[in-house]
Amino acid sequence: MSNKFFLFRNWYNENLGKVVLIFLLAVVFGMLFIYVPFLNLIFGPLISFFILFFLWFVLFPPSIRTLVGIGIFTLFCACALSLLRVESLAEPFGEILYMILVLIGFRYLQEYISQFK
Amino acid sequence: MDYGKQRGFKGGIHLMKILAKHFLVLFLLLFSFVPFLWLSGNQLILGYDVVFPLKAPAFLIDRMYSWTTVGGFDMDQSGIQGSIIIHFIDSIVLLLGGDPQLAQKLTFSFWFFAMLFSAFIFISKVEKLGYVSNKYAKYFFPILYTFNFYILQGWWAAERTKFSLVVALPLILAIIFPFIEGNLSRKTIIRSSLLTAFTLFIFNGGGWVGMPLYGGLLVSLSCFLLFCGFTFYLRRNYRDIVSLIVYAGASVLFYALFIAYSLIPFLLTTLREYDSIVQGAGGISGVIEWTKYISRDVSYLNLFRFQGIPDWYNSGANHPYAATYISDPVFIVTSYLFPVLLLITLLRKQDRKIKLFFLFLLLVSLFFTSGIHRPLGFFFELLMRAVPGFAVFRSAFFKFGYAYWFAGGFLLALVLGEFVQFVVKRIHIVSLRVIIGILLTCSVMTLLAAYHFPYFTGDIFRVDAAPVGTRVNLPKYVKDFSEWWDKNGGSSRVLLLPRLNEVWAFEQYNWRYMSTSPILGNFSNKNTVENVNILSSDEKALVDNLYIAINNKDFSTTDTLLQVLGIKYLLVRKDFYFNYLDQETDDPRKVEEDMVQNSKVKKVKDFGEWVLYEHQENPIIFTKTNAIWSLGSATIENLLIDNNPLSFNKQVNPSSISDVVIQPHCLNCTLEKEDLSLHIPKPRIFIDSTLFQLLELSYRLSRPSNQSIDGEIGDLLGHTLQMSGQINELLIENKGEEYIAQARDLLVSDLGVISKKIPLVIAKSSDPYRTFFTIQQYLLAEDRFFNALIATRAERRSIFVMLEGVVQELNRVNDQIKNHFPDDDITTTKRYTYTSPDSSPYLLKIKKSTMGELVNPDLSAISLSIDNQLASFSAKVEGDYINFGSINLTKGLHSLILRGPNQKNLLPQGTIEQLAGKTCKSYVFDDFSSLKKYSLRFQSRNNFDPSFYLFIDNGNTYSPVHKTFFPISRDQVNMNRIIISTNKISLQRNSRILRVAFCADTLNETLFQENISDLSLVELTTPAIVLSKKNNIVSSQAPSISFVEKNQTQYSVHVSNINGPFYLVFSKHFSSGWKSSVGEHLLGNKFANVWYIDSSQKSLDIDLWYSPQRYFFAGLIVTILSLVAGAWIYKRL
Repeated sequence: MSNKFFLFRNWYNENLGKVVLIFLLAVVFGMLFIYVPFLNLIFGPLISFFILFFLWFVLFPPSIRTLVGIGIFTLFCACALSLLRVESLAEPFGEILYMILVLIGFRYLQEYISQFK
Repeated sequence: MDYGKQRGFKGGIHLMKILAKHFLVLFLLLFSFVPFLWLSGNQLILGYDVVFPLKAPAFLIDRMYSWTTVGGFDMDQSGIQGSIIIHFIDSIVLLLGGDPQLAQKLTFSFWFFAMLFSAFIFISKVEKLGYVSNKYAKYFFPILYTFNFYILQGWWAAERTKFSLVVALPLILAIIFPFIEGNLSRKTIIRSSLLTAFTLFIFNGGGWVGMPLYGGLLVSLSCFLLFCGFTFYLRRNYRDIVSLIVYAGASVLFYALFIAYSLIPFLLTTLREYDSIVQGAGGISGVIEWTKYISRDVSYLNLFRFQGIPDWYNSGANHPYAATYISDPVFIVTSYLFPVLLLITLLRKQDRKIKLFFLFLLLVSLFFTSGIHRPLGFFFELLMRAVPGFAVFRSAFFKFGYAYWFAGGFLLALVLGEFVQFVVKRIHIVSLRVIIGILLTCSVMTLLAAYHFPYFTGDIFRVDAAPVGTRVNLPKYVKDFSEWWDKNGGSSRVLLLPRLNEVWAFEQYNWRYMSTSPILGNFSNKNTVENVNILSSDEKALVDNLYIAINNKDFSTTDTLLQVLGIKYLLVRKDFYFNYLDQETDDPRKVEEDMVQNSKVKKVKDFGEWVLYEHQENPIIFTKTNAIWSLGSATIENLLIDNNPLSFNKQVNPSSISDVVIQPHCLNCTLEKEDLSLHIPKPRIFIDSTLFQLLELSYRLSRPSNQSIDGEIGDLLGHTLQMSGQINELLIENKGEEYIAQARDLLVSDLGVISKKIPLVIAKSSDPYRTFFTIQQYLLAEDRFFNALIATRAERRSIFVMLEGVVQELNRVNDQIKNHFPDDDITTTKRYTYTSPDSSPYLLKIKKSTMGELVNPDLSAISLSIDNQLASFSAKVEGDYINFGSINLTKGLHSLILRGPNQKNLLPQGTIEQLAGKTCKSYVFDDFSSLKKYSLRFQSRNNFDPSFYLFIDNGNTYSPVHKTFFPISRDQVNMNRIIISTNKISLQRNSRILRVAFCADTLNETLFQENISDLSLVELTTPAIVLSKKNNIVSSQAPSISFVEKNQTQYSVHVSNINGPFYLVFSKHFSSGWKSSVGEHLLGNKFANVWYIDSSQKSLDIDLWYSPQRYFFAGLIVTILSLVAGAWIYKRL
């Protein structure tokens, strides 16, 4: 347990700058999309989520395994909502899954390009 | 183990593996025979969009011609000649002597086989190239590609055109997939281009009208070429990028050459009509609305579950199998296994190169398949608006879906293959490994197919609970008539009775058939006429008039129209599903009863439920020496003068014109039939928002600079309504007065602009009366609204002054309109306009039956004003016409005003009765006609019961088709006007009863009298006025004629006894493609080809031919030569 804590502390110290940046951007985008006229109409909450998700992907490049894990969790949530017959609530999870697949695609592409270097 | 035994053992294992491989292929083949489960007894798949040749030779021959005589008054079919290959495949079994059912079973099995094995060929090729590392995926991919909900939906109408491109996609990718290895030689490129073109030559999507179906193929090929190009770029292999471009260009070129037989007629004939096709679909906005409708349930999540089929959600609980997949928890959970497997396949490290390509294709095709659905639907909409021609992909799901299922199926097959391989590898006994491998593969294949169980139950040939579908029992008498008609029909036409429901135009029978394509079209029976949608509006008007004349026992009109339309036979179909809910039409037995009273109609043959009658010989080609020149909104009246079946709406050779007929156009008749109900909108963005200015800016920018005056005024009126809504909401929300003043200023400014435009309306509007009427309705609605607002919300004096100002401005503009637009009662005063071609006396008649039921039928109560001068007439009744005698017309534009008595209230005395547990005051009108429109007017208030309402139905059982509730209004009296017609309210078309009832729990006579007053039902009429004069005395002795139909695009006509100029009338749909060896080509009778021939010879031999046919023959030669040359090049390379 304490080992994991130290591992996490080390990771946190190493990535402090990125953690601060992502929180800062989360606040900035949050403010932008909530309070700035026009932007709050043009960008819905899902778009702001996508942007933050993409920032996370850029700052802390996750493995394909992590992305697949998130994807399966997304599907689990969607399935539960479908079983409850609230399809309209389940629909955004399909859009998140699409984005996850796009991100997996980026990973695949990186891997593919690296073969030619 | 000695060497020999070891070798024998290895040989045995090898043999087992070969057997296993073949067994699995055979097992796959077994799935091709699913269609044998679908049809039993005499069942066939027909109706809706299924066109299946039941008489193969005739069908194929018809497709060889650019002009078809199957249906309507014939038409060009250049766009669909490419479907000849699909229909040839349909016809093979029939040509070999098989019956239609066997032909369908085997043809459908062929398409299963083609889809399964094209997918198998592709994945085997990819496996051979080393891009797929497991050997089991190749058995799963074909199953996933063939047994899925997208293809299943296509089977409901046996969409072979779509299936052909579903087959072509994997075949073409199998041809070009080796490109990815690079080092493309010229030979590879040319050979691949030839093979690609040849594949599309065979599996061509049914011709160029089916072009949108190429969507999925184009997306897939573009993705592959991009992927290849990107790979070559990474390898710095620029030469191969050029080779890819050459491949694409060469493929297009070879394809164009191979299908020249279909492409050339399409380019030179059909494509010219692209704009009219888009306009027919309601313009680009209509097309986008349709795409939105189709894409409504095609969410990304549904697509990931390999669902989202629009029919599932549109048909509700009545869909034969959708409810199981949408509601059953087991099936819901199972559907989520597919995207989970998709993610797992991406997690696995094997075959990542090909997975990258298919992931790319999956993401791109998903975007296209979902159409205008969030989150990226806006981009699809942008493509539809901005890319010329992209609008053809309006049914996005159906046009791109197979590319998505191709990509998704492949990725799923990989993970399933890896799963089987994973299990098999853990078995150490080799022989057992082979057996387990086979068993597991077969089980997974079976499970995948079984999940799509409707394939096997066969309940896929309907979309809802309606008593119609595409699996029908074709009655024997249909076939009998078809055969009789082929033998005896010749070039005669037959009218099919009863008419189709005028809104839906479905041919519907009580043996489950329903389609907009006539059943006889499947037999390629020629010259059958009914009111199908392919008719032009003028042809439809003529045919509708014929049906009406038959129903009304108007024998004279019937005879004339049959002559005009070249119809000799009449077929009564007693099996017609005439009382199908919402699609009602005439009772065939009643039609037959009325029709046989015409002495010229004789029974020819009884086929059972179909009975054939004969009228006199009415040839499709005849001659005339005299004609009628009709001006204005010419209708059937023009054709009845002296039974002359030839009229022109422009002046042709003056000496041949025996009569001139003018039908004045009624300016205000249609206005009273319009139900312009206005409501004040609730604003989404208030005037105090920072966004409001942006909204105003977008409103100003969206108005085109070259807008017509009608459009400009329409926009301004819409804006006044919005500002009224703003003022209302600002008052409700108690916002600052400055905002109310701002909205008031904008509203008054709009009214000022409208006021300035009013003097220009007469000169510039396309329909001034309509424009004035519309302005007046808006102004009146806003006046009522602001008066109510003053009474309820103007608590402060400043607000009162502001609102009063608006009302004064509204009244000012309204008064200004009255100077231009007489404030007539449009139910009694009809205003007409007409142009006289000359100055001479004309006979003026009014068709009595078009005047409705008048309170005072006395002719003296009717008055006529010509050019605002009251005219004096001595009117008398002559048959169905009121003859007003002769009037002197001067050349030029004139106005005519017809004033008559009020229309009679058609409602009888009402009775109090109990209906549906309520007390109702009901009125039953027993002479209702679906061909007429009525206006129901009354004043209402409600001071007694919140459930007080009005309903309208056909009076048999309580089945309201319209309901209006009256909220409690105390003493406030409201004026009500409801337009009643079968087009607006779903009343039964064949019912003569109309019931209007007012109901409430506590209603009684006294309460009814207190709350409902001035109730009336009157007919809305358009009196038909005809002005006619005798022009020249022309000999009516037409030359004799005989003709031979060489084929459907060529006629040879012999004319004798010619004594002067004459008209040759060819009663087929007018087309500039029809040519004659002599004479000037004209449009006659609003639909027919007519040639004016002035010859000094006593007899003439005339050739008539359809010129676009030569494009087909030229294209066919190019096709044959290209195929031969292509084969030679392929062999030589």
